[in-house]
Amino acid sequence: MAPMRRILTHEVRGLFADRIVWISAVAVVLLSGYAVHVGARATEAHRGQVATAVAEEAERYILLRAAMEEVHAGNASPSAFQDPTRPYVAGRGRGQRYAVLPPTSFQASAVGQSDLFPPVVPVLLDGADPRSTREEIENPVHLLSGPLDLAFVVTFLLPLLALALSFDLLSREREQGTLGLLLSQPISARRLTLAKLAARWGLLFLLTAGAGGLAFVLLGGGLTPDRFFLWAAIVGGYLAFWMGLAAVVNVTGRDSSRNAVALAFLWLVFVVLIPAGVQITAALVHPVPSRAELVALEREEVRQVQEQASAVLAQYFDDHPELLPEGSVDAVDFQTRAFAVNQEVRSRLAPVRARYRERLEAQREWIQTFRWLSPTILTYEALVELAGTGDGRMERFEGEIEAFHAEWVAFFEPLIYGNRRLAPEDLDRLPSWRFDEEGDREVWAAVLPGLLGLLLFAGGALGSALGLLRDGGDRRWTP
Amino acid sequence: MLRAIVRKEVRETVRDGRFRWGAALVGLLLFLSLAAGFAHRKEVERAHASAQAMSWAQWLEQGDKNPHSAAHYGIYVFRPVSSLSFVDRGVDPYMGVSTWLESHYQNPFENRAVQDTPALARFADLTAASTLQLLVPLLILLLAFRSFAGEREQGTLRQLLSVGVNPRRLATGKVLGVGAALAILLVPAAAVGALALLMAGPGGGATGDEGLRYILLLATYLAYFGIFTALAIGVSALASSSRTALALLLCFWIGNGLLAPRIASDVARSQVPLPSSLEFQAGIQADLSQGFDAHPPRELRQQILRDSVLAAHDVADPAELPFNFAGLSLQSGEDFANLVFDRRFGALGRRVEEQLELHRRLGLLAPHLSVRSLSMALTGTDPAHHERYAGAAEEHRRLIQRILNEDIMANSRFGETYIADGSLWARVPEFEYQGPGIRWSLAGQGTAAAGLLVWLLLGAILTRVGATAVARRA
Repeated sequence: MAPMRRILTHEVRGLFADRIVWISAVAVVLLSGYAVHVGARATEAHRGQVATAVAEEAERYILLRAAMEEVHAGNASPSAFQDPTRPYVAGRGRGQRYAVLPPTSFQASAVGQSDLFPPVVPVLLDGADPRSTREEIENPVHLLSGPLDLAFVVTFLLPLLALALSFDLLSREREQGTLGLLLSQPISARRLTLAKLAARWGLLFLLTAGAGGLAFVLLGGGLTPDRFFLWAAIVGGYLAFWMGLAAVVNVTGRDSSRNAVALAFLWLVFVVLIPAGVQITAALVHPVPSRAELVALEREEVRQVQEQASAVLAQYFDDHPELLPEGSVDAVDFQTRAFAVNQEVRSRLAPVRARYRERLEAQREWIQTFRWLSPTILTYEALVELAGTGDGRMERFEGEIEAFHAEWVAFFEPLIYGNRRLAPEDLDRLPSWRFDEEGDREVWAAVLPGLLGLLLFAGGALGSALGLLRDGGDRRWTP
Repeated sequence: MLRAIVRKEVRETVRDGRFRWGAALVGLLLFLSLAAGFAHRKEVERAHASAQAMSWAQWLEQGDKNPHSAAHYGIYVFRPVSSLSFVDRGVDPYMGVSTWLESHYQNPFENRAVQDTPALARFADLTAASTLQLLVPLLILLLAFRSFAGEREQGTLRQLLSVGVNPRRLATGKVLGVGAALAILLVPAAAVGALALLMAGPGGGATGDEGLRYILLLATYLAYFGIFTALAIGVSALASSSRTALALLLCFWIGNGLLAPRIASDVARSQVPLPSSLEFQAGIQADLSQGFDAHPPRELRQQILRDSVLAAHDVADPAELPFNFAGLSLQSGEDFANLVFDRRFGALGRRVEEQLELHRRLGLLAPHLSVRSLSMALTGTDPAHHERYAGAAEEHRRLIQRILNEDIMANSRFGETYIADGSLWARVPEFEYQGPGIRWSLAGQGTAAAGLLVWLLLGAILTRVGATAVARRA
């Protein structure tokens, strides 16, 4: 192994003497630091929104309880639309709960979907839809630009830096006339290539992981060791793929500048074209219908149901005679009727709403199937899942909101139909929100396949480079 | 002489495998993204038109009810999509498509298309605009970085200059050569675009002057490609080797197209912060209930109105007025709320515009920001066009309120239950949006146009300097 080590030492020395290497190193450190800063700020804003909502809810509940006590003590007699002891009033604006999605410990690493979806969704009797909740005020051009977060730096820029360091891996030695000299040493072309790759990979990997890790400790609110380990593994695998690709091009290619152009095209193909192709085909094969029509459709349903409101109510009391208050169905008050109409409209529109989600899930499945075409998709998906800002956690949030809303409605339903009143102590029995966070096992399960895929890609690229070298490559490479 | 140089450059470029592959790839993407943009636009246009027709029919057929109930029922309007949005969707996916015109409140736009997309869509958003703004420039760089440096390395540059070729003319020829090679790709694309524009039709009146817009759009992108061609050839002439030329040009490409828009957003966000949604809503509510400037709080406002109206008509009770006071009171509430909305939404709009102007100024450092701003303005898909539509919708909302409140004033008595018959709803005109002409669209784009011109000049200077340096060095 002595010559191998000597080559490695020589390579590292050579790298340190190269201007491009220093520029790349500075770029990696600056970009990683800045990106973590961007991610940390976004996370902080997210945390702030959640905290504001939680505080608002707590304060509102104190006021609500006080108002209920007033009514109970007989000191106040508000109108039916203001009376907090009426379940229909408490279950809507005054007692609404917030479903909140707390930021994960690793969220500063990828903004993902978190700047598009509100982390705070009001849950009230009328509904709870994270996709139509009022969003944070933001300049749309900023959303269009996308964030300069660590996931972007890793997926888009890191390959370019890797290619800048390795596009002339072997071709430069040949152009300088030193390749022959090197190969005259007791070392094979494969060993030489491996040593060169290892030096470059090690340098970039240590820089990226080091700068990223340091930035996390300093700016990103600390480091979660197991997530960081996974993150580093993804970065390492992705880097290895690009290094391997550079080696393949170097082995088969000609002069340095042609290699550079070929690699730039490959970057374009893997980073831009294949992901875009997968995304565009997903949207073509499983198009999500426009929400515009849902707006008008919902209105139409409301009108129809309102016309049949009495029938809807009668049906309900037919099924639940025990809840029928004194008097006939016709005497049931406005709120009960409104609740029944809303429930009916929701259940009628459920299949229409479900279609949006089904289509989106079908798109996701399509992407899951075709993500194996590009290591960039694998990396991006793994990074956002790891940060908890990807589709997986968003879907989980949506599912839990739906369940919580059902629970909320189920709590109020018998109270409203039974025309009962709430007592202040009932507030303690109201369903309360708690996000059932993904466990470590689930995160690993979401990330590992992608990581394995990355390693396969990296192995494939490296293997073919070395394989090509064996198949007479040694001779071809001797000038 | 120049013609010979151009012919040689074109022939060499077209023979080059890199160009063939690159042009085929970029061309394919351009056509696919234009087609996808066209199909998408068509579908959105259909959905919006049908939803708006449905909402209008629902308004007309809501039956007999109190006009104020009808005002709360309201109308939904849906933003039309501009014909040229198949080239550049701009911020369309990030903006809500519909708003609810109801009484008392200026509602925000809802239902953003981007909320129904997976995470990858954000990452891999390939449209005709991004192909033109990012990929074509990359193709240009990869084609042109060797133009001088490569000839120098091969030794042909010396030969050329020794036979008396003027280096400036050589540089011009090289620029034109790259241009001519690109034209093979871009002229058909432009023709397809023009055809698509003809097929797209007026686009629900989202914008006017489509033809002129398209021509200016072509000119804008042409200028942008010119910048890249001139820079690439200038750098190629000045750089010590083709390797350095490529490294420098790729750095510029990354900085300009990938980093600049993101960094500009970050700078704009910290220089001109926007209020949070909660603060903004709280501000509106505070203005409405407590008044602002010299405007008194709500109770006092209502008191003053009542007293002054009663005094003017010299009666003691609102029931004795010759009109229904309830209608007047509602309308006065609307009038005050409109002041609040103008003030609050106006301030927010100005801040967003300040941020965008900052982006355009930064276009002096990165031409991508300039071309993006111009492209969105010309295709009618930038935030300003959305604001204009939102303003028109808001005007319509106010008109509806006025018509209905005046009906309450004229046709009902104070304190009695009033049910208007369904014919009243048809007295509200249907909302029809007339999009802006080209002058309006370009009014705020001075900085962006200047940015593009400055870079074009910079490119020309660099090519010239490069050509002179080449002659000296050879």
